[in-house]
Amino acid sequence: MRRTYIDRIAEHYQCQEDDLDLMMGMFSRKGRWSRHDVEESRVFGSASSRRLLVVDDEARIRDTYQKIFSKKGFDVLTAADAMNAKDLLVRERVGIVFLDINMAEVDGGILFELVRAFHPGVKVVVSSVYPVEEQKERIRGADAYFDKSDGKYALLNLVSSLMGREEEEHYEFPD
Amino acid sequence: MITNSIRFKTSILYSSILLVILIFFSTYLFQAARHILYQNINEELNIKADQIVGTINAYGEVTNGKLPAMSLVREFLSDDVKVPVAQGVIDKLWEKHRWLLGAHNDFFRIVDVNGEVILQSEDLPAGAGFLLDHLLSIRAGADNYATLNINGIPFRGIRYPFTFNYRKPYVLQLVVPLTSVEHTMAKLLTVMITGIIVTLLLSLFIGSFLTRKILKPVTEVTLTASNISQKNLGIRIKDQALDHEMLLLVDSFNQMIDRLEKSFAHINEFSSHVAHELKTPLSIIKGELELALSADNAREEDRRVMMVTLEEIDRLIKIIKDLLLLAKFDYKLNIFKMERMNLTEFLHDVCRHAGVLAQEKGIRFSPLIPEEELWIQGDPVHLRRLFFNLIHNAVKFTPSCGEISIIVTVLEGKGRVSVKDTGEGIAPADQKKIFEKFYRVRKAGHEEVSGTGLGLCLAQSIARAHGGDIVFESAPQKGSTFTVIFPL
Repeated sequence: MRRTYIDRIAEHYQCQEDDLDLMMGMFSRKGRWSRHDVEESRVFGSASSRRLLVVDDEARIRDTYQKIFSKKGFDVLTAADAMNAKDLLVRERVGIVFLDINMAEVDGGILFELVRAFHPGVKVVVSSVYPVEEQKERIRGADAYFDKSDGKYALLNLVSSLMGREEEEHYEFPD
Repeated sequence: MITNSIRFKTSILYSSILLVILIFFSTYLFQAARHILYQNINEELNIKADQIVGTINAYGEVTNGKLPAMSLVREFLSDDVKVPVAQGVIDKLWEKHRWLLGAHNDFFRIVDVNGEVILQSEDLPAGAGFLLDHLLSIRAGADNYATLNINGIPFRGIRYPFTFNYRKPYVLQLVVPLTSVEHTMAKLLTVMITGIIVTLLLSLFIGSFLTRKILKPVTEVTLTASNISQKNLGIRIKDQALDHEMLLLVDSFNQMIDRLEKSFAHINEFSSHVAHELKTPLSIIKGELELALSADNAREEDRRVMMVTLEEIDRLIKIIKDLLLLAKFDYKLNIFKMERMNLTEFLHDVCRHAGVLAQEKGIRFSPLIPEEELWIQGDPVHLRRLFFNLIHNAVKFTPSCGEISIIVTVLEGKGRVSVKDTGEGIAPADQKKIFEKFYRVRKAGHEEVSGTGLGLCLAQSIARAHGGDIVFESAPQKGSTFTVIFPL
């Protein structure tokens, strides 16, 4: 079952099967879980966990997200690429993953599939400067889509609704 | 038929050539026919003259060389045979005589060298004598044949000099009517003209039909070309069974569409990348500014600077998004996902949001949407954008005590959705330009108006992509009504 799933991913993203296999292997080797373990168990995240993972290759974006969420009491993990991201995912229990789809080395799409496969409880928010329509075309079935240029308040609203809570945030400009 | 077309020009051209050839040919034929007929008449004149002269000389011989007076000849010829001749000869002569005088329409005169008339037809018309003298003159060297007109009837005459009893010279003037010839020529002319006209019409008709057949590939190419649009750049013209010249044309055309398709894809991709690259640093700046503004420890002046910067950054971001959308309308295939949608239901939804926006500013909102369902082919996402733009404008330009309404009507098979406001209206000078990119109306006395100037441009593109359009009516201080027209 795992083999065919990998085939599908490899075919869909037309990436080297070696890379993918390597990643898959690292999932099971470097982390605490053996290959067998991975098949048997899953690392579940839960949406109510206040731990977030931000995956983006721009340092300043990671920085900004970290500041925004820390202020609201979230625990923020960041990763600059897919490799680091999956390391973190394996070790930590994460509620929401923010995924940039235009990263340099490994396509965000591949990571999306992997998260869906191995961390089914984790919510994935696709985040990018591309318009939401285009994001939806690139990655289907994500929990939410976010256009980074919409700003901090839109981001926080999105997260609250994902977590099932309505938190009102308004622009506050002194008159 | 269009006058500037190849078909028309070719038809006229070869019809003209055909006409000229036919005319030349007919004229030649006509003249030849006339010539032949005249030759025949001449021959007839000759034979008849010969017969008359022969009869006269035979009579002379029969009277045994004695010189009979011409008066006797006259008598003889006028049916009074008084001179006794041998019976057999009389019969023979009588036959000739009868044949001769059986031509009632001919006239003749026998004239001597002094111009004196010896004998002439009984019913020779009055002025004819003069004509005969003039045209069939007794002078030597004159023409033997002539055409003359006696009382309106054309005649052909012969001047036939002869000697009577081998000694006395006389001239026989014999004229034969040309009516039959004229009649034949007239008939011939009619037939020719009819023939030319019929041939010409037929050739025009057949030729036009043939030309159409030959030009059929051109028509097909034109039809296919007109079907090629942003929606289906994939169409190519088939190139089997075409003539060589058309094949070259079609190949070039298909290649051109290939290049066009690639250009479109390239432009689309490029604008996407550009937008992406521009938005990334802007997002970062926006994020930092928002964070800095939400911190408590900023100085007043710094806050002001950051706020202004943030507003302008937001504006930049909006401009980039709108421009990207406009580029996609032009260059991306299938950007609009059309589906059969319930316009009435959709508008109820739109009104909900519009109501909220209006309320925030204290503007009264009154939708007027009829119960009946209106179904259209539309893309709900983009239509939402269209109406949002119109409503946003209405709210922006209407003061707190004003009113905004949405009115739906059906006229001439088209649905009309109007967004009407009681705001400040649009000055006539601005009215021509409001749909232009980046055009924003300057509010008199207020500060810079917010907005990108692209809202109406986008709205118009969307309306047109749905097969409709946006029209508006506005007067300063009287408000504006923007109407979106949909084909139903």
